[in-house]
Amino acid sequence: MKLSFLCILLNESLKAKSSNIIQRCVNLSSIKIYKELDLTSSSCAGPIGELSSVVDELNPGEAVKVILGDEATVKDIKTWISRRKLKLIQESKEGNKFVLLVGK
Amino acid sequence: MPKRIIIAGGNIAGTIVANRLVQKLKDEVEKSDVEIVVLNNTNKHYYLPGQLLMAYGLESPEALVKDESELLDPRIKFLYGDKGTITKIDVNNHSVQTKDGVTHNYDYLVIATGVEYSWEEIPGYKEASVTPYEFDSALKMREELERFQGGTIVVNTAKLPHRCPVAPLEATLILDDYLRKRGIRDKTKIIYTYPVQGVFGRPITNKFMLRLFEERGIEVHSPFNVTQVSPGDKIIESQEGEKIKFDLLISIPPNMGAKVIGDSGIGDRRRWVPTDKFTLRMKDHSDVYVLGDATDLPVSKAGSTADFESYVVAQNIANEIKGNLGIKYYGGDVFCYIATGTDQGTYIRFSYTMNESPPPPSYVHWWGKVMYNKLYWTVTAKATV
Repeated sequence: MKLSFLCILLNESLKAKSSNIIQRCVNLSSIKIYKELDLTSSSCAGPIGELSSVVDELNPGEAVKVILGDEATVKDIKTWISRRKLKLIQESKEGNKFVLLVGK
Repeated sequence: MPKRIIIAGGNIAGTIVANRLVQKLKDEVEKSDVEIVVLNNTNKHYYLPGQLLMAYGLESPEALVKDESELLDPRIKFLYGDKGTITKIDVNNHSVQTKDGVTHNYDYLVIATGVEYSWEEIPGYKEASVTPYEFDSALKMREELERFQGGTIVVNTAKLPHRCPVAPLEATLILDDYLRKRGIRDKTKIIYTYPVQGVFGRPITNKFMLRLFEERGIEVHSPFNVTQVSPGDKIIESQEGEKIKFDLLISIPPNMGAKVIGDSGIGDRRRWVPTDKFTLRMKDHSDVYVLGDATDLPVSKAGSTADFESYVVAQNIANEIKGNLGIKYYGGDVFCYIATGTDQGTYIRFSYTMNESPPPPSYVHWWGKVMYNKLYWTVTAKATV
């Protein structure tokens, strides 16, 4: 799946007021979604466990689309992304679900 | 021509779903309107969850192996050896090929090809360790433990997800109790190493187990992502920069889907088959179902998962053939006993929408675990409930 747009309006903090919306220009045209991971239900490996093995398989220019069901998990994942020196390419919200694009 | 249902793979998932299907389609099978075929590389059926107990001398080897042909309903056509070894799954042409060169067409395919261990991902790992995940190594582990007189034992989980997610916890807690009962716990340091923070991925169980590990004096090093092991120096190294010297290493090897999934180009890079979490259909292929360890679902790769999933797959295939039976959806159901010693246990039961609530460790749950294992051959495998 290729994302065709170059710039997006990204709501950095999904609970933030409209004045806090930050415009970020992200080059997504070259990013390929390797896999979509629906982690809205908790698993034995946990969201980080599930995500870690998928991230290990990513090639340059690819991202994994992660769907999460709660803000606490989003926070945990973002901390882990930072510690593992990964890239949070995009953060958005679809309905009541949180969507992160994570790359290497 | 009868409708043909092919089940790719035997063992726990393939056996249960095949037996459940023949019960659902009894009349159609007897009238030869439906043919159910199981393809498996071997006639040996190993009860993998029992290997952990065998490694601690708590189960006998002969109790864990039976002939697949004895477990399958006689109305099922069973092919094994070259005739049952699948070399390619062609979902676009609705067929599978076997090692004897035969192409088998299907109306419905059930993929139950399980996992394989990718030891080669970590240099030195296999040579330096024993594991309850392989039958022969579990026996070696039993012998090594019998000889063990004290030192450092490291329990390492290489990568998530892996088959039987609670096994690392069990391996560690049984080990602690085993050493206490032999009077050498005070001469032994147990170190638990795990790829993510904590000791388990689910928060409730993680908290429950962390307390137990602390009470038992078990060291936890996590996150710890093993990169290599030196069999000569007996040192395990992690991506995080840690090096731990050990006297005995108990490993949980990296898991991947079966090689045939990769060879057929139907899996992701770890050879897990893309599967719908509710219908258990392979994504974009309505005549293919996936269950057990082969799926890419973020649910436990466990025997109980395969059992729960088998109700959904069997019901929905039977419904498509017979009609008017109704559709079932998989709710992410999992049930796992967790041994917390050589004669005590707890359990976790959860689903997509329900969290677990593990009870305090007791003999009752140990007994439940042992009975569940014993009943596998006569009840679970034969899909009698």
